[in-house]
Amino acid sequence: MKRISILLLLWVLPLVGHAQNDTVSVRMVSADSLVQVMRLVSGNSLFIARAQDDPATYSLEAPRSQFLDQALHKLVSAGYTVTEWEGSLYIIHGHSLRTAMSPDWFKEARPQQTEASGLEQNVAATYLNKVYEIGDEKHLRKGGKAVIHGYIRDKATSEPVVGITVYDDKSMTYAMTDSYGFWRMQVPTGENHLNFSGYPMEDVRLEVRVYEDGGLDIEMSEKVVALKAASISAESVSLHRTARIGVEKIQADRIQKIPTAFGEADIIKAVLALPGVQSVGEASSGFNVRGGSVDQNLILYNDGTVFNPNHMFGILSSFNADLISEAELYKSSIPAEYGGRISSVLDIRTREGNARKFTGSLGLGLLTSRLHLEGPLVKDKTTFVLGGRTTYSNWILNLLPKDSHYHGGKTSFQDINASITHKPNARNTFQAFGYWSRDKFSFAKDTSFHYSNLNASLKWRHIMDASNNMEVSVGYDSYQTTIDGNQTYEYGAYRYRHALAQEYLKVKFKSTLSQAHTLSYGLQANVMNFHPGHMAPLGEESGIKDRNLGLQMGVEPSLYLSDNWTLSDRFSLDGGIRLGGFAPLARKAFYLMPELRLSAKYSILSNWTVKAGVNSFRQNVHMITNSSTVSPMDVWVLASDRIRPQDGWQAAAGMYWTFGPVDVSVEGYYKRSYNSLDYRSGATLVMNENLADDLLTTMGRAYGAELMVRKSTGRLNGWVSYTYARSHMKETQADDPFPINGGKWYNTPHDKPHTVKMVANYKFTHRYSISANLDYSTGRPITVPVGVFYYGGIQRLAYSERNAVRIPDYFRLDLAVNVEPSHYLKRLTHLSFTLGVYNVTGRKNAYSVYYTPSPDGKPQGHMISVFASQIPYINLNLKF
Amino acid sequence: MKKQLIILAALLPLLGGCVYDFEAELTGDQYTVVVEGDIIVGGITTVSFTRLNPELLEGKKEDPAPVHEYYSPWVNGILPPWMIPVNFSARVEGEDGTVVEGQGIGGMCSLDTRSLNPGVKYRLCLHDEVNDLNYASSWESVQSPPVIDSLSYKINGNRMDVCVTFHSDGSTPYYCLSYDEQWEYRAYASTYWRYIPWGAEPPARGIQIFPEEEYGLGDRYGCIFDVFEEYPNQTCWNSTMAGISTVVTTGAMVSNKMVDYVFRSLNENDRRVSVAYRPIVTVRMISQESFEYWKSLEETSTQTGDLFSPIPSTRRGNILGQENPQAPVIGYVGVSAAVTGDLFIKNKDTQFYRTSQYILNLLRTRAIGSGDAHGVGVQQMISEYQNGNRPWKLEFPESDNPNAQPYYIWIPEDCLDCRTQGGFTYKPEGWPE
Repeated sequence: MKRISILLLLWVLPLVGHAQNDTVSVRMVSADSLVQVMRLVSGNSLFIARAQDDPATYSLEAPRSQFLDQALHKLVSAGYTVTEWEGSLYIIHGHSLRTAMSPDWFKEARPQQTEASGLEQNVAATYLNKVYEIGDEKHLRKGGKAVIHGYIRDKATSEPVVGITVYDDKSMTYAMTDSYGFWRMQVPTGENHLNFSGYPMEDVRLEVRVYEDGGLDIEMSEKVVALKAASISAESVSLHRTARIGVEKIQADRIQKIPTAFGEADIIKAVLALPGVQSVGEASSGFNVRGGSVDQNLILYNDGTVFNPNHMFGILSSFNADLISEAELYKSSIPAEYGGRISSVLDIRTREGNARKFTGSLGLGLLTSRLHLEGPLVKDKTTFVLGGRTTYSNWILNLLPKDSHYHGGKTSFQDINASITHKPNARNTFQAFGYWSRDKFSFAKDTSFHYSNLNASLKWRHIMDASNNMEVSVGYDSYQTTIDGNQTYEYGAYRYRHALAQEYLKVKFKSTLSQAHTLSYGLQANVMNFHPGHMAPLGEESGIKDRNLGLQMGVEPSLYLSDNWTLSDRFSLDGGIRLGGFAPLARKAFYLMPELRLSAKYSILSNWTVKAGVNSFRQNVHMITNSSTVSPMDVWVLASDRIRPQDGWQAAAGMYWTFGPVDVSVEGYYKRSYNSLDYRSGATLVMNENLADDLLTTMGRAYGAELMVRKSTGRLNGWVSYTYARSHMKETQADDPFPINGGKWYNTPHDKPHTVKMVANYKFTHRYSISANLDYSTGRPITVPVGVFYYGGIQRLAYSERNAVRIPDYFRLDLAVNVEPSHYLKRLTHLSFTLGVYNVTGRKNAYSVYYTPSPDGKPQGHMISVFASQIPYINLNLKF
Repeated sequence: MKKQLIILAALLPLLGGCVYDFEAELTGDQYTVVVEGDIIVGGITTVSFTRLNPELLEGKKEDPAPVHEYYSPWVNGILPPWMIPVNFSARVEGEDGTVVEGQGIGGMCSLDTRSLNPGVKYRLCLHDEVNDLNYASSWESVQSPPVIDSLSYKINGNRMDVCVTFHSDGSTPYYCLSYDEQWEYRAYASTYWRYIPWGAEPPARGIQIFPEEEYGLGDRYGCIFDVFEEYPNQTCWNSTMAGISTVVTTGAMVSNKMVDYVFRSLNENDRRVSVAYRPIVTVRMISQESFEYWKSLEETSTQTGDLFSPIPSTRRGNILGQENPQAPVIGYVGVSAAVTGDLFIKNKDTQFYRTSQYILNLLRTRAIGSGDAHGVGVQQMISEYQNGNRPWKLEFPESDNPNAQPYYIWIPEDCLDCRTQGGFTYKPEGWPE
């Protein structure tokens, strides 16, 4: 900015000097530059608060003596006001400068309806002197309490800001904005000081006079990150304020900072950087949370369930990072409003779209391309977001060695996100959302795989009154797998399909009963339709019989009630119960089980908190898999009269400290799960009419401790964690005379005792920073052969106990250099880029080890490594 | 309008498919028993009984025989050293009291089960005479025999697929296919020449072609004669027994029929198809349990290494140790009636075979030029002969030089004798005269 101004002056000065005695001429200059010329010409003290979105340029030619007046006239015509105060001129866009308070300032009537109170960035000092009134003074509840609420929105885009802590100094109560930017809390009437803080927004402190229940909406601006960490982060505040354990919030912009393969920002990769979250390998779909299996995680995308959250065998996730607002991962204390899975919940929300102006992005890459558009359909009322991705990565598979099974293979995916959000008034919000994705790949000429996700939902959010709000959503989710097989054997060519679908209704209420009690309650109903399998002939010569295993249907109703009870400023409880049922239709069975959700917090000091909790869960769906990673051949089944639902419980405790900007946490947990399913070796999972006969019930246990040190603000930020975690299972099938590993506990495929993770960003300046990601874990268990024998004329392998041996440990370090756009606000283009290297050390991390027989009788081991060398990348962002 | 252009560029040396050798530290069960063989109603039941000893794997210093390419563990009774043959007695018992007994030596036993009643359940009982241990399979019903409709072959480019079509009216859609092979082939090279060392009797028939007559057999270098007949042992036959087995199912088919199922594929360079090839396929119906057992073996031995490969595990068969039911036993013994079919595929009909580059290189690299026709280099013949080489043919150099001389090519005697490629000069059983 300064540089341009100097250049402009150097250009203008000769003109000014040249025309000293007659006219001053400027052509096509911005308002800032015009004011600088006005200063030069008039010698007056002038200040301007230019409108951020003012693209106007000004041209003027006038005699020197008249230049100031004519320039001011032009600015006033463009919407500026001019105020003279103490010898200086203040030129402000859209508002006039009050140089004194009106006599009846404190009696000024404030409407009870909430209205946006904008805070201009350029008048930061002013708002501290301004007192906001909520309610009508005539209705003042003397000595009483009132429930206040409001929305917090981004000043630039008018989008809701999530995760902002609202704290009242007087009553020491706090609230946090939800995914709609909405907050509510009960405070004493009278004068209060509200503090609004949260990443990445500028802190706001307001003086508020509360007379009765009412609302206050504010707009917050993104802050320039302070390089010297002086303030406590909002994460720290919430760490000591909420009783829930094992909750991680992931902000959208933090996703961009974690280096990934090929530089694609990815929410699942961000989740995998958290303690307690594992995967079985780099090319594996799904993730494991605190020892649970991949099907025990509920992945919600704007309330819809995503059954397969990955593209390209897990290299990319199904979620377009450009569209994500925030995500929350519940590892232990899962709120009672969530149900259906026994290990974790990952709740991902998308943005509502810029309500002020149209924006978009276009990405072109060697692997993927993406396009996204957003903006207002009706300004500040109706917004839309539309985004799509596609890939064209077949050329990469052709680079593989010819003896690789994957040479010449094909893979591709597409996904589309679309949403419309309409806010007719402050009390109501309507949203329609849709997501569709499709993956296709083939490695061998005779078999190709396709799978697709579809989510569609309608949502209505209604603020009933100051203390109560309601949310109703209905939706449809589906997941379908198609395999075209045996295409080179015409008689046996087939098409196999497996599909899941569910329709749901969710009604949620939230009530602030008092300062101490916030109630959440509601109901949910899912109608599930599972098609276990349909096989049909492919081609005219095929002799395959058209078979359909029939529809599995089930209804899953549930009610929940929970209370956040603040007994004192030190002690609070978060307790709830979820009563869930499941009725597989056409089967004589009904399962009903209450699920307990209970956690407690005690703050020993304001920066030292202990928590404990116990939670129980139920899951009515199973994913039957015979591989260590999610694959298209996996089969989802509903609980039935012969297949019991899974259930489990988890006890956890933690201790948390905050020292300045640093949070330290230690959490321990113990989990048990029951009625998870394994299958008999050699059994056919696909098109098996009697699948229940080939399934084995198992039970699982997991325990561990997670130590995490996190620094959220300042020049250096990020986290480092160490986790000790074990995960075991054992077969409990009563009628199996030869249980797996003799019926003893054995390691699960994702049992990794030691894990160290680090995510770090260091800002040299506001523009230049480096990012690092480190991931170490013990090698996962595998089953190895102990001998070779001949059977049927072919060498075969005799195997040891399941999962008795480990592959080599996993270690990976990623580094990236980030250059942010310049801070010249008037520039038409802003360039940022990231240079990075994935797997800096080039370690050949084992994804899996397999064995083949060999002539000398000793099984020959082979290690598969997905990313076996360093992968450099560059990511360019050009904003204009 | 604020636009955002994101350009993603990546330098991509490798994505995947990177497979490296991995040194395994193996521990496991010792003395795992392996029992192979189904009870064949209406035929001969062949049962093998061996033990695995992983300790031998670590202490083993030599590779097992044989060295040729058609190795089968049961050819000439050869077993790899880590499979210990068990001396045992075997007994087929029927629920009707039928008993058929046999003695196993060297790990194999044959039982005459041609007269068994197909309407009765049977089981196999084994007695390990060394360790005095007993094993027994479960009682199994006889699976009815399928019908082989046809055997055929298809040529797809450089590949020949040998197919079988069969069907059954039986109750289960599971089958086990196994095949044996017999084939006729010729030595890598043939010649009508013989080298006769000096002082030896000249051949009864033939003409001296090198060196010229004036030198004669009296010359200490010997002579090459054209004896007007091929070098001996030019044609051989070979076979594999206890052939490769695989399982298939018609469960997904419209009818209980398998059409043109490819059970064997051969490359155009495969010596098996060079003269005549005879696959002998045996098809028998098996139970679902047996099918799943075989499938488990296939998945965990031959379908490993993919991203979606099944987690390996050992599935128990239907054989239990009587003294210790938990003892590890590999194998599934079913009861079935088998049918066999064969097909003769002659190269003169298919014109499919192409001499492999390997053989061509072998002949080229091992061929030795030996002087010219006018006696230069004739001294080399003795040393070539003593090194095991024999005259093969005369070759003319590719040259425009009118004075360039032809030269004799000698090759190792192995290339002229088909027996060195593992075959025999007598026809196998069933081969037409």
